[in-house]
Amino acid sequence: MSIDVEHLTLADATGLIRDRKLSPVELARAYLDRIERHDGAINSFITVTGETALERAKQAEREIQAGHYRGPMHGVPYALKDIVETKGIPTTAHSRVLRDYVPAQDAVVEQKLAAAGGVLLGKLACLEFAHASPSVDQAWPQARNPWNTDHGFTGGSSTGSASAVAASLTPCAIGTDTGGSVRNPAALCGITGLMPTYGRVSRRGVIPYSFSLDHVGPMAWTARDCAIMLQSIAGYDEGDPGSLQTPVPDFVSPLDGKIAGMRIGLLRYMYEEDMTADDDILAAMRETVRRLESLGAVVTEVRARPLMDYHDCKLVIGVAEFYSVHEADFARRFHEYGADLQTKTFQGAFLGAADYLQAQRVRRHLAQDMQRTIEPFDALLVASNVRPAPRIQPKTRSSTEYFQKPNITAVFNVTGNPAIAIPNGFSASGLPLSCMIVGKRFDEARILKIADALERETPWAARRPALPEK
Amino acid sequence: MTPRKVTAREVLEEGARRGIAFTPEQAEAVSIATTSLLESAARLRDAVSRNDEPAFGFRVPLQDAARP
Repeated sequence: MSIDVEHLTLADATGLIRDRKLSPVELARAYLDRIERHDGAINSFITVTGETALERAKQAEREIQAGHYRGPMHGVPYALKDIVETKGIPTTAHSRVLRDYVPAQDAVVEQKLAAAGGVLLGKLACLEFAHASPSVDQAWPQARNPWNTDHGFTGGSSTGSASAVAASLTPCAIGTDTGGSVRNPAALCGITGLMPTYGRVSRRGVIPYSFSLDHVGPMAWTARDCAIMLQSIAGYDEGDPGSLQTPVPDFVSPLDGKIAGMRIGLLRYMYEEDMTADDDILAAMRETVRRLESLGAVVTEVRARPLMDYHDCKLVIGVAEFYSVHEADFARRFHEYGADLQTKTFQGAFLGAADYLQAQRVRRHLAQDMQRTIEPFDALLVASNVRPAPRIQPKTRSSTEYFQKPNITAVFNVTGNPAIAIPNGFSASGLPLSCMIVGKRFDEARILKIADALERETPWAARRPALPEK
Repeated sequence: MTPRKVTAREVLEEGARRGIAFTPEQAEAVSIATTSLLESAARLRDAVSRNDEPAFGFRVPLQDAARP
């Protein structure tokens, strides 16, 4: 039986597998075939775990046939950003520094997905240590954007996660987000990416970029898909100091498309004043506001702090924490780092203790302000970014050009609020656009509900890129 | 607070102290990026200049509070 996985969502696969209309083994084979056929054009995988996938798929099939259905991820393929540790499988962080690293145990997120019966297809490309700028001198080629493989950047740093989902090489993937690294690539590749609340998903076993800003989150075609995946990976972990012991609600059942009466705060100043979005994005945002209102939501403009405040805070904390992780390796193995990280990492050597502590103090104020801003609302709405996918630059770009400027996604890494980027149309040149819905802490269920309601009203998440074969 | 500027020479010296041999081009790139970073740090210091909160659970007494 030949399976067309191109338009299959995670939720589709779940339903078909649960009803025994789809074989997990045949599904895994279909994705592995598609990876073989297309990944040469987009470079999204660093390691394909074909044998592991087929073993797990066979086990899932046996269990389901025997009536032991574990839940919505059972028999469903997924892939992991290659900074998520996997027992016996190389975990490179897309860096020569870790090219021979084979972890002795799985990260918690992988433990949970495996326990849910998921089928690991492989490990995905990213920017080096989730922090480098897009570079051409790394150990593996950078992932390409399936919507324009010639010159479309995927966004960073979960590059392979976004491109693999957008190319339908996996129905879902795990990414990590320190300043937007789930949501930005999701936005540029036309898929959905959720950064859960800080503390919702364990980071134990995920190679850190910045301890106090890192999040692990799902990436897939739809909000419903992300809800299914989040359900499997959420929960307290005493081994992650940032993890919080709070109940995990049902993320999937509330997705009924009904948002009448909900109050949405619009952070328009972020993409019209503090940054100036392209006309395509401005038009798409106006249309989204109209769509929300037609669904019965009440949209009101609201302001938080200037984008630059969050940017300063994220930059100082991120650079300091990254340097603290890499200081020893950086001195010993300098030449194994890519050119961009060779210059970018060393900034941390010039920050003082007071710089870091002041940044964390300011952060607390910014986070408190954001909780006050969002309090009267069910959620906030903002553009995910101000441009569609930029061209891949022929040379390595310097840090100051690319990352040392404000972005909207990083605001919510600083404040710890959950945020989901969803498809929001296409530019005149055919590249995906995206908007972001932000929730109160630990209120992922509500932003998933709003995202799902919007996705039901639009065709964006059903459109697929034309993929070259290589 | 006036942000500190880090020169390419300082980068080369600090790198050498840690056993890292930057090229002049790399040192210049680090210098530019670090100066921008320290501008961010200076803005943050200005944002919380008053010692009026229990930062991380520890509070240093204000000079004024020590007066009779």
